[in-house]
Amino acid sequence: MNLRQRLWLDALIVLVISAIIIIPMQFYLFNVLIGQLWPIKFTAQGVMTKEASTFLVHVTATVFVLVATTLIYGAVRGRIKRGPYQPADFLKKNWGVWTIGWFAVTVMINGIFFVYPGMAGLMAIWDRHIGQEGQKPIVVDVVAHQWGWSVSYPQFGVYGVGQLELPIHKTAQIWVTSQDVFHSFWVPAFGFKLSAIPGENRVMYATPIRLGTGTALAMGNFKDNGAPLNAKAEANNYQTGNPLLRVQCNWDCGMGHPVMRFPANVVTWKTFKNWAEGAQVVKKAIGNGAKYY
Amino acid sequence: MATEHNLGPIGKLGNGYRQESPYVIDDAPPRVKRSAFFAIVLAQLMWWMPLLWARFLYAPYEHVSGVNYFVWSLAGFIALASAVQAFRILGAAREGRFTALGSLLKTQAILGAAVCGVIIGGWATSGLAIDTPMGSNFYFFSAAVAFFFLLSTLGEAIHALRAGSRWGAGYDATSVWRVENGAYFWLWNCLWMFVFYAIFFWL
Amino acid sequence: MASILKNWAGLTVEKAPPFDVRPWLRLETYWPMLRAIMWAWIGFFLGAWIEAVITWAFDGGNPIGNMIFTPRAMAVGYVFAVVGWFLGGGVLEGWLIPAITGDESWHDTSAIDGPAKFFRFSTDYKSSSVRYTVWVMFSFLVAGLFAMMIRVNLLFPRLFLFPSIESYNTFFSAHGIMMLLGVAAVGLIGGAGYWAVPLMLGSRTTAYPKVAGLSWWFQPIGFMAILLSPLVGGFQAGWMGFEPLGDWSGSGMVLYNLGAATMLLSSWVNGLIFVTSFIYMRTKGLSLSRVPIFVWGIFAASVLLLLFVPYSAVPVLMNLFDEVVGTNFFGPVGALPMAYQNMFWWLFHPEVYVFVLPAWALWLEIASVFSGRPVFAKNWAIAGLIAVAVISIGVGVHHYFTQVKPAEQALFMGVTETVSVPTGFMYLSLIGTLWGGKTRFFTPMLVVLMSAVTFLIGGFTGVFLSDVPANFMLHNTFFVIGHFHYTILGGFLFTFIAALYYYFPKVTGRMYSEFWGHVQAWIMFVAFQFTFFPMFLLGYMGMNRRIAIYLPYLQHLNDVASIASFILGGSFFIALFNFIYSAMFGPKAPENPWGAKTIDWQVPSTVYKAEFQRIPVVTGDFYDPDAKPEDIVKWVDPEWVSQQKTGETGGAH
Repeated sequence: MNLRQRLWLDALIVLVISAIIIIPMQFYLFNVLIGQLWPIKFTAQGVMTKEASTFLVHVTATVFVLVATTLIYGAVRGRIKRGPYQPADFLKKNWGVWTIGWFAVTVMINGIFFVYPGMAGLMAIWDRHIGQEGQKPIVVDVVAHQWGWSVSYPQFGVYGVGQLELPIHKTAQIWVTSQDVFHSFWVPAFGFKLSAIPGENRVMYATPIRLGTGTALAMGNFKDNGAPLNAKAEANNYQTGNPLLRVQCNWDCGMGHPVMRFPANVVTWKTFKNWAEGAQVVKKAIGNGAKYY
Repeated sequence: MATEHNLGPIGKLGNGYRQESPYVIDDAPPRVKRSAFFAIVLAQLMWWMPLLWARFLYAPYEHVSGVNYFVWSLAGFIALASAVQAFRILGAAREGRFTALGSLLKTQAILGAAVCGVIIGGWATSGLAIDTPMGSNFYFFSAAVAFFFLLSTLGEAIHALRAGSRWGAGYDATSVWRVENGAYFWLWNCLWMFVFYAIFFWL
Repeated sequence: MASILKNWAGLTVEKAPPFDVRPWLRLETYWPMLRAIMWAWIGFFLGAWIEAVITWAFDGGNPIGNMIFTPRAMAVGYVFAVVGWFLGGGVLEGWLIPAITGDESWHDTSAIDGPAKFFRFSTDYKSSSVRYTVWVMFSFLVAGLFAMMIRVNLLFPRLFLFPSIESYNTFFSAHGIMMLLGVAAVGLIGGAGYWAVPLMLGSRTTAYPKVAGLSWWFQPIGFMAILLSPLVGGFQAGWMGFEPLGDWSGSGMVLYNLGAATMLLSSWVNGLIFVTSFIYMRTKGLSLSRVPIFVWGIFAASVLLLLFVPYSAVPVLMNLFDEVVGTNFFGPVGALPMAYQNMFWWLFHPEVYVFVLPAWALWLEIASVFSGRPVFAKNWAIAGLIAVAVISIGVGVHHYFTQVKPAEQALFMGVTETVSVPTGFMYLSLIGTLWGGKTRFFTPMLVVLMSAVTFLIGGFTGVFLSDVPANFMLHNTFFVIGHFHYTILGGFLFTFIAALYYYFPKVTGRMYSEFWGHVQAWIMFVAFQFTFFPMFLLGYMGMNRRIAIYLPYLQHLNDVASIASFILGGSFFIALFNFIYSAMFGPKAPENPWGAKTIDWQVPSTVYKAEFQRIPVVTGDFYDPDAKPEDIVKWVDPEWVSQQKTGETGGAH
């Protein structure tokens, strides 16, 4: 067969090989990686970030297989014994079609990614708090410092605790700032994070949708080298609780950066109220939280 | 064909450029040295852009205050004089008055050293606190100006030694591009000194 | 004497003359560099003492002996050290004195052959290239050992190798900056760039030979500043040196600022040299459409360097001033800490494209040679290089999406995603170059293919990070570490290794061991995937960056990554021994073993002096597979030869 026919046959073979790889891979991605192994997201916003990632995984894995297969097949197909230089044939007049086609496809994929999950995801996250649950958010004030956190719930008179308790299905309006260097407020299970900038206040919204207890080997429970302090601490921290439900500092802040973490819990509204009353420091701060709800 | 390191006789390379020594291969003629230098000087803009930006970001509505205006004005006038001197140097180089270059360059080096010294005096006699936004920007910008003037002064001093001293090789039409490039760079530094005055004392 | 011919992977090679070790044992071979080191030490202490004396005269107080390691004294001492290092290495006799007296005898290298030409300041770009390459290999070794220590520590959830978390922080910070500025920024540009680009342009020098010769000398001293910073307290602020942490994490921060600024100046000078040489020093007949694509890659990278190194050197220096002089640009109170990040990323995003643009271009050169086809859609590839360079200017904010306003997030997400389109042109061109070709799988070709596949993974994970919703989850986690190691190692480092194999015959005149090259390539590739792919999973599982201790549920994947990383590190030693052994005892290389047609392969091997007395004039296309080298380049005598022959003297200039 002549060169043109050979090249078309090669293209067909590449498509077939790619299909053979892609179809089972997509099944694996849907059912195993995303269905079973993906860390569960505990907030509505986190579900959006998770959906963004999963869409990207599907598409980029497919494109990767196509491009890599073409590349490797193209290189290997023409393999000759190593030796002196040998010129090969080429058909220059066909190049334009492939080039324009490639360009069009990449621009299209690029455009799709910008719209979804890009802008669509962003708008969904921005708009989330406007929904029903978001109209009366619970204000959580987080102040990061080297090397710990101070969490306050001003509506409930709770100030300066080291716990993040959030009631399910109620949007929390989390204010984040830092007293000294950059930190970042991150709960992996919530699916997103926000930087704590010295001298500035930033806000993010979290709407928990699933109950859970976190664990973090928080400060006080381990020795200087990271080992648990005692058997009780060790037992408490590994058997119970979801390690992804922890507040973790996510911006390099010095010596205590790895251990600036504590558990986060998502609880029922009733549990939350009881906890808040128990932790209340100032009875008449902004008033009794029950009045708002 | 001769051996590998036959560069040809002094005086001739393949492109018509008069080679200066049998040891250095420098194939770029003076035209290239000057033109390329323009490109480099323009790229130097990027040293000054963040400084300009920072000045207006940190202290947008303020003017400088508490500095010794006399000393800073003196620095500005000396810089102006040095800019005039740079034009004179360029003229001498263009017209081929190579023997006159020695004294011109020497004066230029003295003026440059004076600018640096007066700027240092300005720092010493200013009451502006360094840890304020305005202070930080003012001292940093003036340090940048002083640094570039220092570099230029060192360059001019070397050129002056070459032109005027008994060990110096002197200049001719093929080597004077160094003096011209030095003068262009000097003018560029003077420009930024005047920008410094404009954005701190006027705007 | 009949030379012994053997078959080296299908090529016929002769036995080389025996390796002469005697020049390597003589002191005068190394003397300029030893003198440079001595003068650097003297300069450091001289400067520190001068500063201490001046400060003591004004402020009194402490005994002078305690004052020579204050931040300001170290800064002044360092500047003096740099000057001493330059002067000692030959800048004094080779630049400063000739500038005044015109006596250029330092550059008379007719009596020097062998290794001595590498250990001195010289205007010869080829010895500069060898200095860069060897130094990059050394930097990679040192920074790589730091990485090995990091991975050893991360085998267990608790502190393992390091005595404290601060020391761990110091080590990852140093690892990052040494790798980025000491290896990635200068590996291809300084090594392959300085070797191949002037030759490909057909010129015997760069536009400013002495400035070009100086650029390497910035690297070792900047590197040493970083390496020695633990002695004065280290710095924990990561390779980015972010304030305000930098002020509070050890007085080694001063040396970080100085060392980073110095290494950046090396890159800046490289940018300057290649831009001016590309524009002004092309030989006759070398129109822009004929310029080889590797030159375009270096040119695109150099434009970025020339413009943006100053932009980020300024905040580094502002940082230095914050520590040394008392300004308050980036402190936590009364200042703007975010401004540092804004300014910092203006260079450092384009910087990563500086790493990979020459790599992409070199893929196409190597693929074209080993597949026997022209570069497919060359103009699109060049447009891709330029477009990536231009677009990369405006994407820096994607490094800190979690700190900026929503409007900025949307805008920079859009621009960042757009950069993937011109990157795709490089793959289009690579695939088209290989498709239908006659591929000879020598080691460079194999490694280029591995590089392309690895960078592809890295590039796609970049899509995740550019997408703001996904980024919210992944920012500052191990996913990012996986992404940039895939792109920088896959894109830059694998190509650097391919370039080492590719140019080895031309630079050393000997052939490396092809068997061990393949072995090394495969071990490196497989170990690499097992080292860095788990990091994507770790990122999703909640492991953030820069932590010395982590929660135990993350241990399994960390162990996989660590053990694979030890194998990866070992594979580099295979390459190192291959190169050292082959440079000494390998068979003699043919002049053009691969059959490349560009001018860098048409000059005799290992020629470091004025290699071409005849001027090349380009008359054809370098990528025409059927053309013979003599059809593409004609060598003509310079005019003084013909004048000499006819007895003419003088003549207009």
